[in-house]
Amino acid sequence: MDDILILDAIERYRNGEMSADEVTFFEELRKNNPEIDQLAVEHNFFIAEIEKYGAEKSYRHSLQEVEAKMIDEGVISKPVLTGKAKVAYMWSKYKRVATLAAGIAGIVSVLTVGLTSIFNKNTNSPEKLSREIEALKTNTEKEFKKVKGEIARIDKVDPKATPKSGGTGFLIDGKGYLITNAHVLKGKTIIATNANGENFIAKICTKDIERDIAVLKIEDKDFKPYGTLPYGINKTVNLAAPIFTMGYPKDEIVYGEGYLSSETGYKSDTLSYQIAIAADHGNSGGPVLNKNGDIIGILTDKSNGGAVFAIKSLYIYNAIDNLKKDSAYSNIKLTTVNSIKNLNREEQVKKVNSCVFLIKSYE
Amino acid sequence: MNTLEQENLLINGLANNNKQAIETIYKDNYSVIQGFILNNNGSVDEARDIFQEAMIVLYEKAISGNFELTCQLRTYIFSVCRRLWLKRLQQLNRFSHHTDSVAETVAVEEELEAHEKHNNDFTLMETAMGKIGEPCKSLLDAYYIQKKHMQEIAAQFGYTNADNAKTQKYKCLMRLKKLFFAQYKNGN
Repeated sequence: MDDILILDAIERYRNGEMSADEVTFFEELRKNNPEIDQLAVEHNFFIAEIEKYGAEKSYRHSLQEVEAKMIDEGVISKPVLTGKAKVAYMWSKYKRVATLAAGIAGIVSVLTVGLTSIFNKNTNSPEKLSREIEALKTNTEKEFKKVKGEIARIDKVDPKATPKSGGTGFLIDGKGYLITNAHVLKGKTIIATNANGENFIAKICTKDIERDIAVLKIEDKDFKPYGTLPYGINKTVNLAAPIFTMGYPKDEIVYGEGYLSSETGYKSDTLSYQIAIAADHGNSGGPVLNKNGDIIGILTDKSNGGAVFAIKSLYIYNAIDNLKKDSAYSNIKLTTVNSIKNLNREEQVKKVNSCVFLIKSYE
Repeated sequence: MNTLEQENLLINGLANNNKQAIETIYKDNYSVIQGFILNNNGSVDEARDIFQEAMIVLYEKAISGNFELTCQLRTYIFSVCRRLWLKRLQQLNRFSHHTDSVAETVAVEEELEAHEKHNNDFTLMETAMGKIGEPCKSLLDAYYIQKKHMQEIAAQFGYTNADNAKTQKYKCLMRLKKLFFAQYKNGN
C-alpha cells in the first residue's frame, strides 16, 4: 500500500497536480530519502517509456493504413513479368524449393495412400453447420418485429418467409464480394445482413458444392462499397497457431478463439484444416483469422466427435481465379493488405466486425 | 521555403503521426526503393517491409527532436533502406552482386544502431503488455496512452469509484514494470 502512495505522489508531481505545500514537502522528501528519489527517477523513466510505446504504436498503425491505401492507389504494385522471363525468374528463385517440394510431395503421397486405407473404415460423415431452421420457424414472426433494421427487411423479404438455410459470410473485396460455404445457400434469394442489422440483397456468383465454397455479390442500391478491408488473406499456417473466428450462430455476431490443431481436415482431407474452436450452427462460412488478423480459412463443418474444420484459404484464391475467367467478374480484387496487424484483439475485432455478414437464403 | 526546409517539416509531421506526411513520403520514395530491392534479390513484400522499417527509423529521428536533414530526404531514405536490406540479405544468406549501386548514399550506421535499441524497447514493452493480460492492459492503455480521466475509466471498466480504479491501475503498473525491467536489465 505504501508503494502505491509513493507512486501516486510521483505521478501527481509529474502531472502538476500538487499544491505548493505538497510540492515543497515532496521535493524535501526526495532530497532526504535516496530510495524514494531512486523510485521517482525509475518511475518517471517508465511512464515515459509507456508513452513512447503508445505513440509509436499508433504511428505504426498509421503506417499500415497508409500502406494499404498506397496499394489501393497502385503506388505499391507488383511488377508484371511476362512470357519466358517470368518462368526463368521463378525457376531461378524457387529451384531449391521446387526440388525439396517434389521430394516431400512424394513422401506425402505414399503416406496418404497408406493412411486412407487404414482410416477408410470409419464412415461417420461430418454434420453440416447450417443454422437449425426449426427453432427459427417458431420465432420468426415475433423476432422480426424486434430485430433492428426491421423496415429494410420488410422491403426486401416477405416477413412471413422462413429462411431455408443460413450461415455467415465475409467480404474479400470491398465492392461487395462475399465468401461463404455452398451449403449455406440452399435457397435462391440471398439476404446478407451486416453488424448494424442492415439487409442487402446478394446474388450467387459461383457455388462449388464439392469444395463447399461460394462467392456472393451484394447487389443492392443501399450498399456502400468499402475502400479497403482491414485484413489480408494468408496461405501459410503453423500447427498450434492461435486463431479466432466471428460468425452468426444467432442474430448477433459471436466471437470465438482457438488454435489450429491439424493441417488436414476430416479423414486427412487436404482441402481443409482441423481447428479447435467453439463453433455452432450458423458459424458456417465465417472467416478463420490468425493472430495478425489475416484470413487463413473458412469455417465449414463439425464432425460428430466435435472437431471443427475450415477450408484452406488457398481455395479462396482458386475460386476467385476461376470466377475471374468470366469477364463479368474480371474486376474482382482480393484483399491483400492487413492494416490491423499491430492492433490488440478488441480493436482488430471491431474492424473485422463490419466485414462479416449474416447470410440467409430463402426459397 | 527551400526543399530541405520542406522536408524537415515533413519529418516533423511524422512525429505528430500525420498521415498526410506519411503518404507524401511514400509517394515520393517508395518506387525507387522497391526497384532497388527487386533488383537485388528481393520481393515486393520485402520491399514493403524494408520501407516500413525505414519509416520507423525516420519517426525515431523525428521524435528525438534534434534531427535535421543534412542531405536530401530521398538520399537519406535510400541510404537507410540500402543498409537495412544488406543486413537482411546477410541474415538470409542471400547475396547480391549489384548492391554497390551508383546512387549516392550517406552514412547511417549510428542511426541503425539506435534503431535496433529502440526496436528492442518497443518489443519489450509490447511483450510485457501482452503478458499482464486483461483488464490490466486496457486499463493502463486507457490511462497512460489514451490519457482518459480516472472517473471515465472507472465507469468504463465497472469500478465502483475512481479511487478503486486508481488502486487497480497502480497494481497493474507495478506488474508491468516488473516484467519490463526483468528483460530490460538482462537485455540492455
